[in-house]
Amino acid sequence: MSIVPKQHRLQRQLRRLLFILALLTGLNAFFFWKSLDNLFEANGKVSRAYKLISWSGDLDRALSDENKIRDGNDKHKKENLANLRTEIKFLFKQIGQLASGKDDTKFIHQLQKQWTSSHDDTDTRQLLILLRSFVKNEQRLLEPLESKAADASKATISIIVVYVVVFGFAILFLSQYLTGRVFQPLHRLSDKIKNFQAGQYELPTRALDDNEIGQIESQFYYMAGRVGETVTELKELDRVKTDFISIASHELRTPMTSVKGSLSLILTEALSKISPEVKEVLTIAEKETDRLIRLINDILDLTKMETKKLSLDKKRTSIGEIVEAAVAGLSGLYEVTKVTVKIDPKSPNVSALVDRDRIQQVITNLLSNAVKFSPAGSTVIVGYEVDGTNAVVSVKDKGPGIKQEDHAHVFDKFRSMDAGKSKIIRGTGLGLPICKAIIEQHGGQIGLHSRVGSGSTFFFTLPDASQSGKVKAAA
Amino acid sequence: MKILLAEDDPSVQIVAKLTLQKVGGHDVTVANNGLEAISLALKTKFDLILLDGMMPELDGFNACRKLKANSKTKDIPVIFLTAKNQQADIEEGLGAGGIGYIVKPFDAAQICDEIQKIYNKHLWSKTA
Repeated sequence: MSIVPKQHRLQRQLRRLLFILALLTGLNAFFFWKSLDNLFEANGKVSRAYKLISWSGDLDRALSDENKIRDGNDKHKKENLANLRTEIKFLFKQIGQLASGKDDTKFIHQLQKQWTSSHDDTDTRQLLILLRSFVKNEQRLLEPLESKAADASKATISIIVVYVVVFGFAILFLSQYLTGRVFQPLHRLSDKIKNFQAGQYELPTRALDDNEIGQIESQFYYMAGRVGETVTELKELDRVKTDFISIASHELRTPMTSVKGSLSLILTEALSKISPEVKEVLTIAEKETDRLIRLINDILDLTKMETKKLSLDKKRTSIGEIVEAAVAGLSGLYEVTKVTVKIDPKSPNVSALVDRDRIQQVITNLLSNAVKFSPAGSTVIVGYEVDGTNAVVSVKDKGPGIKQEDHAHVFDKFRSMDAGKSKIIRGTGLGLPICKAIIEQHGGQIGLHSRVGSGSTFFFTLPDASQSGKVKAAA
Repeated sequence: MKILLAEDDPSVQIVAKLTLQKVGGHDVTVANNGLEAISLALKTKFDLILLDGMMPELDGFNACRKLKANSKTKDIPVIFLTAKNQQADIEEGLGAGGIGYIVKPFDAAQICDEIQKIYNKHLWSKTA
């Protein structure tokens, strides 16, 4: 059954909203344009009327002047009169062009005709009276035009205000819509994802919204549910592993207790005296029992490390002290092998944040291998120093060395190298894998430098080292 | 020393009893589980109780808690002798009131010495 809704509601709703917004903007633009048109038209008429009045005034003045020049005795009378007539002609032409009404145009043409044909004073006066009446008429017509222009201006401003308000509300509504329908569901989903990351796998199976975000939410819930199931299975598997380690630890040790206890009890001769042959055979049995116990311990240790069940008790500890304890712990082995061990502290007072027992286990293991593989009379050197932010511990032997092609497998399980002298204490083949697991769990690295015939140097690093009590800054 | 050994595994019972008797020279009584150990401890006075960790009826850690809660048995020192070798187990055992913790398998020659060492240390700390 699909739990994902097919609808694209959010997209549809948003599209509708934007369409309405576009329609409103279009209507506003239309009214605004119309209003501006009216305003320009009214302004044009007013401006033309003003020009008409202005030029009519000029014509009025020019006709009066013509009368005065004609009556006067100026020596340039003829020349002045000719100039003035040119000017009057121009004015008549301008007024004629500006006059918009049919009657006005006709009236102006009539005036011009009358003026052109007549040079009589009476006629001129009559002309002036008529012209002034025409101007008055124009002024009367101007008033409603001015009022119309003012109305158009007001209408334009109103439309602008309405547009701003409507658009503002539309933006407000859009932001509210986006907040409510988009951002809030996204925040809710983000919170759910954060909880999921924090390990809260109990999530709803269906989303609240039936839209695109709801689809993502539902898909996330579906995916989280699957992850949750896997995590539960893994936890169960992990619990089974833990139980296995605990049970195996107990169930394997209990029979070994009887075997080891019995052999060691017989060997004490507390029950009865035993012959040297029986003693030799029983000693072999006891030694092999010990080996089997070590093997069981190693397997369980490694299993714990690999399943991260081994908890480290990390404290800032002197590396020198751990090295000394590990070296002292194997003193019995040096007598048997005739190998000398030297400690070489290259940096003084090195310390690191480590689980002391586990790091001592690593050094003991590396040192034990080095001593077992070294020829009698040789010296094994255990060095330690600070390199950058790391503490580096190395164990150098004069043993036979390891072939280059075997380097990659040295830390593999049950990959014991040719034991040679190591028959003294046979290994389990798990020592180096355990060392690797312990060092890696500390955040360090383990490795080796070795050449056949030149001995081997095993080394490991531990992070967060400090020297002389000063903690070095982490890289 | 009069020792009460609580151990459910029959083989370990025999080996441990013989070791404690023959090597350590102790007087040993065996209980099959924690409940039986408490019952025996209430009846007879023991110098030391050795408890296994995992036992049926009542495990060693809870048996120790009950022994320490009872005025008649609270002063008997308890040492755990168990296959449970985790640090948390050791801490639980000592937290329950044990004076020592020995991990199985054990060596016959060493276990008696170890028990004696823990016991002596306990006596010394009590008298000091």
